Amino acid sequence: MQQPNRLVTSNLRWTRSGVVWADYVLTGIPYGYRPIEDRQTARAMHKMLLRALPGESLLLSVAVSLDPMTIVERMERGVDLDLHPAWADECDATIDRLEEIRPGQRIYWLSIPLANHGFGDTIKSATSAAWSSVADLMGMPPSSIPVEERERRAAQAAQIAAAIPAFYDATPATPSQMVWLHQHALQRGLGLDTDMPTAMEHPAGTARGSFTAARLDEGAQSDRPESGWRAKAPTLSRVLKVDQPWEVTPPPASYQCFLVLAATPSGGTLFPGSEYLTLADNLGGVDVDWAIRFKNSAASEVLKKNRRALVQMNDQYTQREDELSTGSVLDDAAVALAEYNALLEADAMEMEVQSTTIFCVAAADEETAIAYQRELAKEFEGSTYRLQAPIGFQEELFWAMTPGVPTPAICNEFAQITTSEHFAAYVPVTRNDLGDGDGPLIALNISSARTGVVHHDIAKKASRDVSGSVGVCGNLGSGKSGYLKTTGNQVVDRGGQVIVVDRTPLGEYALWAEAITDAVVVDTAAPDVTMDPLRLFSPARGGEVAVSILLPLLQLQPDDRLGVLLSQVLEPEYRARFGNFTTPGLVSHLESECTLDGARELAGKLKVYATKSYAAALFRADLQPFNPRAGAIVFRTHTLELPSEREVENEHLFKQMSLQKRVGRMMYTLIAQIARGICFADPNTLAVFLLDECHHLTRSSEGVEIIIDFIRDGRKHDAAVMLGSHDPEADFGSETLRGLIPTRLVFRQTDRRLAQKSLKWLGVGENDLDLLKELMENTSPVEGKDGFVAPHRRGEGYMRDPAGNVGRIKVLLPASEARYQAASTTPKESTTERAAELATW
Amino acid sequence: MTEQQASSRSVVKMFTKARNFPQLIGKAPDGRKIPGGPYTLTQFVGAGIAGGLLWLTQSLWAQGSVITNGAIFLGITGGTLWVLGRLPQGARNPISVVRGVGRAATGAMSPSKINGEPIRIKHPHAVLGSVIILDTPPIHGGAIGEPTAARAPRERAENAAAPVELGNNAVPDAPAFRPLTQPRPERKTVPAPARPRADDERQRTQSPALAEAFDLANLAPASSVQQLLAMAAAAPTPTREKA
Repeated sequence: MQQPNRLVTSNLRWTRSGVVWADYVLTGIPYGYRPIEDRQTARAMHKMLLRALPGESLLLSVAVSLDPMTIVERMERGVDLDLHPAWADECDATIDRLEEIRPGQRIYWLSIPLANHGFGDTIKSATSAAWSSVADLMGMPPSSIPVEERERRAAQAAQIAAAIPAFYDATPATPSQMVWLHQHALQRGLGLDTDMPTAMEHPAGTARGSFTAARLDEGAQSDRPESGWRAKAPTLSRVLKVDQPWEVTPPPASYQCFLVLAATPSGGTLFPGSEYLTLADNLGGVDVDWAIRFKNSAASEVLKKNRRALVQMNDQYTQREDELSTGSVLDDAAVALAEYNALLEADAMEMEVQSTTIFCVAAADEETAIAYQRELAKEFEGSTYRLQAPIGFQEELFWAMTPGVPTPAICNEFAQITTSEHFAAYVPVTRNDLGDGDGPLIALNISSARTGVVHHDIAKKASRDVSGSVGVCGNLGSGKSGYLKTTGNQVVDRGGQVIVVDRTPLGEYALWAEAITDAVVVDTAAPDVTMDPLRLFSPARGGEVAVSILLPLLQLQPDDRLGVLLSQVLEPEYRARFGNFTTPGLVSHLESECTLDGARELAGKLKVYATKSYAAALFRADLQPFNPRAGAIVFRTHTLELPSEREVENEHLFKQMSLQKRVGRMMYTLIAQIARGICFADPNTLAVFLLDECHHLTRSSEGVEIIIDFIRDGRKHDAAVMLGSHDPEADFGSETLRGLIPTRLVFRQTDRRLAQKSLKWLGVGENDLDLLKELMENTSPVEGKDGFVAPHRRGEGYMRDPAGNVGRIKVLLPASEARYQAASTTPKESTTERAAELATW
Repeated sequence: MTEQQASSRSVVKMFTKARNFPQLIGKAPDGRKIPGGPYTLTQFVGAGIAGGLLWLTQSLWAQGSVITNGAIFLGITGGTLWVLGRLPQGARNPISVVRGVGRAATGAMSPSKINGEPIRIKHPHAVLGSVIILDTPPIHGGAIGEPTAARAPRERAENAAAPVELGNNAVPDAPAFRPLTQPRPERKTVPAPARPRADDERQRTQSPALAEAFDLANLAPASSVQQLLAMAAAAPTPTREKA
């Protein structure tokens, strides 16, 4: 058989059979881990799609391996690699890693033969097709199609496309995409695919020669030995060999096996759970293409057919009345017919969907292809679907999966009929995409066995009017800090800035920051640099910040005598008169120079703290301010003590609060203020405030307010906050704060209550028991007696992106060796990740 | 599963069997029961064909007595009936199955096709023919010496095996990846074994080597016959070689 295309222009193909086909590329409906309401919407969308496609149509789903270079190109987009060599290194290392992982994606392709209206129309297209064949035979140059005809067909196609629900984003395919699809069909299983050309590339028409010729060899007869009896005997193999042996450098032959869906579970299946086409994605590492040949007919026609079937059935009962029992087959059929008729009669819009589902697995050699074929059939058998590979029809099935080819006869033998309402429950056109179109690669999408990639670009979020802030929650050692460090690393390597609060006694984040960049580490216990706001900020802003932290520290009211005095002396004009004193200078100024009422008293109160070692970062005079433009600024706070919630809320406990706790509370506020000042300083540089174990800050209402502020205003200043904690409800402050974080990650939660809270926060429904079980028991599971998470299972979790897509992910640590070492929380090889994080406490 | 979830679940099924149920024949048109029935259509047609063939070819096999002949006839027809009755009901159309097997069996004999055109592979054979090579002295203004300028416009080479043009737009150009001025370092890993990559082969345009070969084949002949004659006359001793 010849390839079917005679002329291709825009998204239309004039084929040899005389039929004009219109091709569209569809986008899947988000599915996977979406809550049940969303899945029902997806089903409704599919129902509308099917009803928009009267007559025949071909839905193709092409599995393509993503080229590592394409993914890395997405990572590099918008980054000047000469300025950021660390990012260039990371990208290079990522190529190697992706070569091993081989992520992929699915492309959905809808091809619709345009109906001929009226007899004259049919005759005209048939003559035109026949003439073109004759012209071909005589070696005449191919003739074109008149412009009017083209326009008429384009309008006809547009009419159909308009009926396709907008959710599918049906984009007219371009000729270069059609050529790409053709090329893909010839190279299945070889991993040679390029990325599908975008609609923008090569929008013009294409030569027929672009549809490369290939040799289709059913049964791989050309692989037989040259001599001996085998050379003459048929192979009887259910494989189609596709090759181009005449090429100068012949590409490897593709061995393709085609299977057809022969039977579905006789009792039906439950929706959700009926999505049988997702089974094709369950073979890890095997690309399965599938196609569905549809033939949809209106209810009135179908009812006629059903009436005929009823007559036949009655006849069968007569024919078989002498049997002891007519058998369950006939009775079953009678029940099905009655139900089917009832469904069609109940809904005037209902349609019959006749579908033939064809699967294709392919490999570079026959044995592997056959093995895949068996594997796939077994996979479906597990869900009581039966697949068959009809012998002698492999080539016909190849053509059945090709747009532009009339439905081969074999398809009718495997046709399944049902209503559009029922077929929609198989939701074939879905996707599990997560994250952004480009940006740093943060994780693999493991929602299905067909691994995808998750890009997450915090910087770009701002320009899309979404906050870039991220919330992460999970058990100890579930991969939280690994993720936070990796993302922080990406921000720094791409020219951004991170400000980290490090609670760990070992200085986990300080060590990490020093390993990746010229970090400033501010240790509140033994400071090398000062945190004095009067020195770090401008005089006006510095005064404000100093008042805002000192008032609560001294437990003063802003409007009482000393409170007013404090504000007064920190006014920029006042400070300017006395040589712009700093916070340590403030104490001595109040003691000696200041003539205002209550100055000595205030100095006395301040001196209580000024002499304490744990407040040295603020009150020691001999320290220099740090560089606020450093790539990473880490505040070590492991010695700071914080008041409990009760102490803050209960007045008498609040008054009795220890000095350490007062200083601790003040320091956290100061850190947040400094972070805010630095992050908001430059709206063109991405700055991220990274808070692991964020409950230290979010426990106080001021802390929550600061973070809410950060998220709300951060978008305009290219600043974002990343919060890590264990309990999304208790630790992520108020309802507002939880709601404001658009990107949410949940790692393993072994506790039921925490897991439920996490799922609720993720927005997938806390009552989904299967999901709850998966999160608790099958997400980076701690296996064995020693509580060891197997290396290949680390970093598993769930992600909700700002668009509301939810999926299962596996977080990737940095690809380059040095960065990996810095981000991995495992200090020694012998200890597990879990133990490592425990050790930091 | 919560109640809400359970109620939102629904049963989904195919109604194929509502229209595709096995058609059996158990009664004659006049309502009488057919002995041994009911039979499937396949059985009916198959046994009918077997019986018909036997009836028509009586001269070939009916050598014995009437009883023997009758026994053979009934035996074969009945056997066909029985065998076809063993076929699973409601499965694929048996004719199509037979066609498929037949196609797989005979596919080996027909030559493979490209774009509908059968290819006939010629048997291996030697390329013979003798050639005279002359040791020529350099000739002034020699046309042989300047091949590129004097090339005749080349004809399209006939390539029976590949009557197809390779479109350049079959494979889009590789995107320009990065503004990095340093070259990317060598990749360290080997490609995954299951899917060999062939980065270099992607731009499957005709290799220059081949184009060169075509050109050489169509090289303009030496400028004139006179020159050749002159060369032949000037030749010292012709060397004869057999290829």
